[in-house]
Amino acid sequence: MKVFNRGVKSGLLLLTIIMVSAASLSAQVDERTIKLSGNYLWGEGFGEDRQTAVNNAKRDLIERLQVRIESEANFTERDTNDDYSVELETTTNTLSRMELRGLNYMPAKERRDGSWETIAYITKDDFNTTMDLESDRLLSALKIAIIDENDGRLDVAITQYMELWASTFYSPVPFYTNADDHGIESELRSFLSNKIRNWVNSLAIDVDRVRSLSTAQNSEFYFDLLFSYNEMATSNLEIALNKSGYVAHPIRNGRTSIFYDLAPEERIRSFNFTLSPVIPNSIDQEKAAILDGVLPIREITLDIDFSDVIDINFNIIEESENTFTFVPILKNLSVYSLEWDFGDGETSKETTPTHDFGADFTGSLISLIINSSGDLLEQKQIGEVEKIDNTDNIDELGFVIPPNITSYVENTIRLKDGNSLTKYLNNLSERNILMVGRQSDINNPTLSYLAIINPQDTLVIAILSPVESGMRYNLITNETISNSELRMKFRGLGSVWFQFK
Amino acid sequence: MKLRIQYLTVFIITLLGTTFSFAQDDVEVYVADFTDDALRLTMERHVSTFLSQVNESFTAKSDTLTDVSFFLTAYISEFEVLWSSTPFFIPESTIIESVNKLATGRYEMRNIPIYFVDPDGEKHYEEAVIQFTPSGLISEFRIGLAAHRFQEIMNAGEDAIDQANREIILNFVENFRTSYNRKDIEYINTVFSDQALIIVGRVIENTGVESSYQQQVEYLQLTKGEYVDRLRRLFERNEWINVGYEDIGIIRHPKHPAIYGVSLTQYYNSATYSDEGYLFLLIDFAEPEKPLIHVRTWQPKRETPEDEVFQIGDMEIF
Repeated sequence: MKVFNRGVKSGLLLLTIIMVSAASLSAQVDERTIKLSGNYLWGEGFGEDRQTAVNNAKRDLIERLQVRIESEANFTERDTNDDYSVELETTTNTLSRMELRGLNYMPAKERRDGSWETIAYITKDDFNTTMDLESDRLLSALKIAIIDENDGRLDVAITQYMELWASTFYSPVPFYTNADDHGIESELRSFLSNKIRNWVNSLAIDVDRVRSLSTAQNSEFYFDLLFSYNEMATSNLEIALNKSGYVAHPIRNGRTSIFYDLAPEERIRSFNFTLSPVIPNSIDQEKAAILDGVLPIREITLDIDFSDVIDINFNIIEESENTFTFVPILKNLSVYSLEWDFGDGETSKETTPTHDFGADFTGSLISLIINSSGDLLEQKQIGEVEKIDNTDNIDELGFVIPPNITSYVENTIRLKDGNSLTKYLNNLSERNILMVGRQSDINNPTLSYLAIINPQDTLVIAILSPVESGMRYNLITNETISNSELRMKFRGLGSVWFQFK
Repeated sequence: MKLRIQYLTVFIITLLGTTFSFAQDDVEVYVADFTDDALRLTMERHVSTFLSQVNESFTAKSDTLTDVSFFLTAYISEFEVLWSSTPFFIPESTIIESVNKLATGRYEMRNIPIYFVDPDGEKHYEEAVIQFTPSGLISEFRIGLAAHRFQEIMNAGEDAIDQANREIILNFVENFRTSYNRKDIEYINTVFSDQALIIVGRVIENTGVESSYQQQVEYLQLTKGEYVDRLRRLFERNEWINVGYEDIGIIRHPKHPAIYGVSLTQYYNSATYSDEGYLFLLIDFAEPEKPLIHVRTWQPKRETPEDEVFQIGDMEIF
């Protein structure tokens, strides 16, 4: 009986020891539990040595974390998209920097072929805790960035938005924020993406002025541009002319100057620019690499007005009664092509031409045209424009002179003969109703009407309205015509300018 | 005391019983991390039955498997050729592996441990790859690369697209290798382009010319027909052939993105002959489902200096 008792006691003791051992064994997670219980996220690593196996296991776990989340979202749709590959690779490389709380490894074991293997694993609860902590960190930083922006520290805020945006790529799970103006919850990465896109796309860009540092041999212009966002000067951007060979200019405190070295062909010319955000130096290389692939780029067209920096002039030297030499006065003469129109049907492309107007010469309008442009020109009159004093025909023509400008203009349209029109306009001039004469006689040619007359048959070809939005309106044919087309269209014809006082 | 020993014996037997509850031939396979439970159970059932049958037939030295209902019908004959030329067994009773979904919609399970046994009784450890149809039938069994080699090559992929291409290439290389085990001349005939450039190095005995390598190598250029004829004769002469690959390098052609250069060290063993050589394959993946080999070069490893090994830069592609 004693023996039996001792035996039972010993048996129970042994049983207890074995049960405790079994319990401690079961506490140590085995491969089957990790892979099949559904409570773990895991990755498998193989290598020629233990360390390589451990490293590969962690990498595999991180890839699986990413794929797991993607498969819960919309994996199949994005599988064929290039963006997906970029995103997956980025996350794979960077998630390892985030501390995965509770990350553990099975002891590495040698395989039959001499290589090593192990499993990296983390419980789903630990993984969720890691993500919650990261989410809290990002959302706190976002609040501070929004305060910075609201307090006018735009550059600081933009830097923060960029950094946070890059950080969201580290995480395989989406984070959410209700920092939207209306408190609506949105995905953090989209929220930050929209912030940056809105900043780039809503920037106001103004041409402050155009400067010329051109010399006789070269053209050198600077476009001083101003940038603002919600009336705050902004930095962290650069802008480049969309032309090969032109470099990007950094924008600092809302200002930059773009260099341009070609002679303009028009007074106002449209240029295409590319505006790109610049990643601040304070952002580390890894995040900068992420941002490099996602930051938006904006294409912009700006009208640059060269009027203030292109001074076209010329001198007229009288060689004899009918012969004159014309000398251009231009700062950087050698970069322009010149064309002279002597007003008598003759033209020249010489730099300083001498022209004989012939024995019947009484006067002519001389034009110096730059770069074949319609509006880069200067005109001067030599000799006299014959003034027509006879206004007796007015009544004979049956006009009742109306009391307002519109009626005067309507009358001019009815006069098909150039001589009659000129007489009519001279009459109005003498009555101090309008200024009449050549372009140079008029205070502001763009506000002036313009009559085009064929010198051969004296017929009126066109009566053009003052310039509106860069266009004149032909009151006879109801066509519109741009300033640049003007000269081409009416080459060799006479013109009378008139402006109501 | 006697009673105590009896208790202990009963207890230990009970404990051991749980460990050895499976028959030696039985293999249980579990698919990890798979959300479709019905398909997972089908794959588990099919692959467990298949591998258990393999062990059973190996032990019984049988030329066939008794039940092939887990195979895709079209694959049965191909497996039977492999089984009859190179039988193998599975040393593990429990296997837990995940499966990858392939671009074709099929699934693949890697790292199945197997042992080939040569007629002389020598065992070779290998790892097999099993492919499943979308409904869970086994559609392919091939000898895979070692797990650590496979992971190393996949990790070297520059991005997910490159990784996907590498997976296709490794799949192809594994199939190419297994075709030698099957002595499958038809498969080899299919994968070589009709105009393939095939260069085979041959060691020339002492030529009298001074060289750091005592023997020198002469290169023969063969047409596809000549090469396939040589292989056919080789297959006929040898009861078994086992080919192994190491040091696999994959380089994408810089100008032709569908063309890859694959270089590897090939270990060739057969009943009558063994050698080691550098193998280079220029493979065109313009049609990923039908890769074509345009160039195959083989150079004897011992006699070829490393800087004379063919590589993709040696090929001009028009």
